Amino acid sequence: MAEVELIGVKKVYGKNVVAVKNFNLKIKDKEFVVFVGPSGCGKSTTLRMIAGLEDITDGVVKIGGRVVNNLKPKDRDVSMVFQNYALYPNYTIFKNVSFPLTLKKIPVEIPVKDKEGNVQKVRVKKRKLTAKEITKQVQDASEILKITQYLGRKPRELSGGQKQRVAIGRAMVKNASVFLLDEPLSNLDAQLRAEMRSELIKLRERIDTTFIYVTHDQVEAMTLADRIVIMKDGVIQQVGTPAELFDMPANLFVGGFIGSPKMNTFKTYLDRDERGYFINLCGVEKRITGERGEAFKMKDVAPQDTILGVRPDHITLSNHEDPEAIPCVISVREFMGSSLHLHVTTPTGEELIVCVPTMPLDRNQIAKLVSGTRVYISFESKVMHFFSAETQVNLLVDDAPVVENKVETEELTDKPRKKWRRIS
Amino acid sequence: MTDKQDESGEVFEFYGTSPSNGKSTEIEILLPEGKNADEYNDLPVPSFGTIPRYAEEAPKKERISQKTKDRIGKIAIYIVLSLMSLIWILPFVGILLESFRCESTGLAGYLIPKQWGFDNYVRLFTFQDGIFLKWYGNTLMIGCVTAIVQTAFQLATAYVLSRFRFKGRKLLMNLILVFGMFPGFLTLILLYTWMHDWNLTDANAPYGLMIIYCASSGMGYYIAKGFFDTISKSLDEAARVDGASQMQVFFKIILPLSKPIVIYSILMGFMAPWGDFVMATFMANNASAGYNVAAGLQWLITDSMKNEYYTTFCAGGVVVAVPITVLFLLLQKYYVAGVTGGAVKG
Repeated sequence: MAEVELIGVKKVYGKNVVAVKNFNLKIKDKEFVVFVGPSGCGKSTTLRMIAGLEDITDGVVKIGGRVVNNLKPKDRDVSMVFQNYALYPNYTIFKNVSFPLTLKKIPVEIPVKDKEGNVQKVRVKKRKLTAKEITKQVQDASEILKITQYLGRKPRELSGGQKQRVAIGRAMVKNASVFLLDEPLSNLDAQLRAEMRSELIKLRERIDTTFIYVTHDQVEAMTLADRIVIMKDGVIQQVGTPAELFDMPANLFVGGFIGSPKMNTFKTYLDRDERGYFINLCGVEKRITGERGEAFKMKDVAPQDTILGVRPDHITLSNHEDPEAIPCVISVREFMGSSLHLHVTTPTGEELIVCVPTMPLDRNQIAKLVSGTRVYISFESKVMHFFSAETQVNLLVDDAPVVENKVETEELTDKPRKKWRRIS
Repeated sequence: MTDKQDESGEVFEFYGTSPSNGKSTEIEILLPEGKNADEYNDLPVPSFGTIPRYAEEAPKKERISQKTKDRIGKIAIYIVLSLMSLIWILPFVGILLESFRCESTGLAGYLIPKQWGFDNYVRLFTFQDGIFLKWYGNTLMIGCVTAIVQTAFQLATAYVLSRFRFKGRKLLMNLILVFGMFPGFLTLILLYTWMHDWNLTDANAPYGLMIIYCASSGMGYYIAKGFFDTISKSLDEAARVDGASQMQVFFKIILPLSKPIVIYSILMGFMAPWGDFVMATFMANNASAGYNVAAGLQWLITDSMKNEYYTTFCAGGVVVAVPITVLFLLLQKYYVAGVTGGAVKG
């Protein structure tokens, strides 16, 4: 029910440990935004700055157009779900869920009448919710989350999935304008995580509010998000819909982070002649045709050293009649049921992963695809992603952030060591 | 998302062709050299290895069986332990027995009384117009006040040092720790001078002692801090986001979870004055009305008194032990949880 805007937000711990650098983002009303990135990329810090649990070193955070930098968490109109559930262990589930309601105060308008009974003005007073109102709201929330039968229990008597439901319920009843979730599914086992993920999608339609969700799991990000914000070392790498991030990664980091197994990369040289752009891959000349070729022509990209990225699912097995097919030898074969993950070695010694769906193959073919077997692999122009070898930026994306491979800790090593060791 | 965009109702069909190029491709698989295709025609059954079985080792024959060895070791340990507990418990048993001795009041060379009775207890409460009751009351008052004030201060200090990050926090913690290591009577003379100026010595000594004990109550924050550290910080954060103020977080969330440490603090605050002898004697300065029980009872066994009052002293010891023992028995499960709370994650 509110927009969230972050303008030049920065977080520095101590003197020179920069957690978040210049974070700019506008989150629309009722949008589901996922912050994703490897651990230590500043995604949780950003979320905690929005919640008010962390000071903002620099920049402005606005919720619903109101600058909240100096407001306490309770005055920011946000609710939050934590990774470790953070249920109050001494309270029952009912008291846990109702806790925000017992602290809540709602405005009541009291008309002030003069002697003739006309309303002169309306005075606004704040009152606490009555026990009846609280019970009703808790009941409603627990029905949605299917936790009604646990309301009398203590948190320690519940399983992880149930606890997380309670935590979501507690955040839900507050009816805040921004719903923050900090890795809510990370403590659950794989099966439960998938279950809760689909339930979150359903829940989202019932709680009609702005969601900000932090995770390190790209699958969660892809399935839940309207828009993904992918971060690394405190810098936003790309903001876009899941499809945009998958089809047009802004740089090599995004390409590698989104999608599983990881995107394959080749070092190659992007060349052009009168017929268009082409690359030479393991002695095979590959013409870049279709939309990719057109896009290169449009942008008039100069021939240069590039890193070619191709997703494992986009590589297909082919035969010797295909002039662009590359002969490879299988080194490792992983049978996943619905697909085969083949680790293959190219003639130039590069290791690739190829995902082959098993459905179109017969039993004999599957049996033959073992290590030592030679296969031809092939992929089309439209699945190729070209990144600059120098900056690792996608050649077809404008103003993508340059991937920095700087090690932060180097700055700290020059400091003189402390003479006194700390106690504790 | 796809079904929302795709409202035309088109059906996607997939014919087992490779999805990327859309045309049906014949897959060519080349087998390693020296192998022929027949070897692969029979599907190899995936092998997951066999479960290794280990032959059970035959027990070795020994001259003395392990069982006997264990028994000898246990007997030795129990002998040592019994001796140690005997040494430890002897003074208590001695005091208890001697407090019932009626035939004499001075020191005797034996433990078990020849004549049993409650004479000593009667005398304890009546001699010098019941001055013992005065001491008892003094100590009880000091104990109660110290317990309350000390608990409040200690928990507040511990919570702040556990949860808040401010400049000089580490320095403050270390300073408190170091100062806590100095023995209390290092400042004895200075404290006496101050208290004397404020007229809180001699007969008023209990009030002076109260101030001294309460003033240093923040020092014992360490165990409580260790306990608070084990309570997840995200509980505080969740409560703050839920709309609680800092005070409400402490009183509604943290305090109900900290019962063991609250009880531990109360117990420690209440018990300390009963055993304090050095400070109490010094502050009272020979005014017997200002004594606490420790100082008072000691006075009973000074050279001039002990022939007449030794068994009374023993009775006093028993009477002093009663409230602390009862309190301890009632609250011991919390006490243990409090002391170990710093180490065990709750």
